[in-house]
Amino acid sequence: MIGIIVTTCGKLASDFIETVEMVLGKQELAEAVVVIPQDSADDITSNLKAAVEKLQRSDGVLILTGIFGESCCNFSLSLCRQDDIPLRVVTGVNLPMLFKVFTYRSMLNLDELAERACEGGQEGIFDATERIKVSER
Amino acid sequence: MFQQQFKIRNEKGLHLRAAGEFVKESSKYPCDIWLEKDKVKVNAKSIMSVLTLIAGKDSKITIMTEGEKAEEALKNLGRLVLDGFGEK
Repeated sequence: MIGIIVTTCGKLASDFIETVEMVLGKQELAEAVVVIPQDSADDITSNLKAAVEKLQRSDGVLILTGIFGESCCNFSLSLCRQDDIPLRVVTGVNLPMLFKVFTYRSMLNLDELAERACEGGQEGIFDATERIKVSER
Repeated sequence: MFQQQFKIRNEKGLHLRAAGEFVKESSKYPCDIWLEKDKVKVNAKSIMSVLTLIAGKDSKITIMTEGEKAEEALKNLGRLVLDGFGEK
């Protein structure tokens, strides 16, 4: 099974995991890394490393972050170049992405899951009012 | 293939928590499971797919199962729907 880390600026990351667990039940091999303004670069790196360490027994780790270029994303990408365990970083985390990832992580390899995460996140964004109008026609 | 139509009984319908309960139950079975509403058929093991049905209270959904333990899956998933997913 692929391990999942959600990391964001602010406590969104832990809230995301909490929401997933509220719906799908307690999840193993899932970690939240919350970054606060007071965190130094070393703090962020060591928190991410600690989360990866907890997921050592997984078949790779998918890191889901908020915005490309923000510190959580940048330090996650740095880990990809250092760590022994296979890591992939996907940005733009949202609930549709998370539910897709937690549904498929035991069936897909890391590369496939990263692709599925991107698809799930993008598919979940649309004008719901317009969608309903079309389905009622 | 086994299939049966059920009426959604709980007030919030097949909302996020209810869909989660449904998917958790359907994922216990090795067979293929689909949900159908208004001629739209989705994979009943994917919460995002189940949510797209927008199945509110009193709407009718059809559970379809095929493969190993298909009959048992239909019976227990049907019971979950009839029980309002454990909600009012």
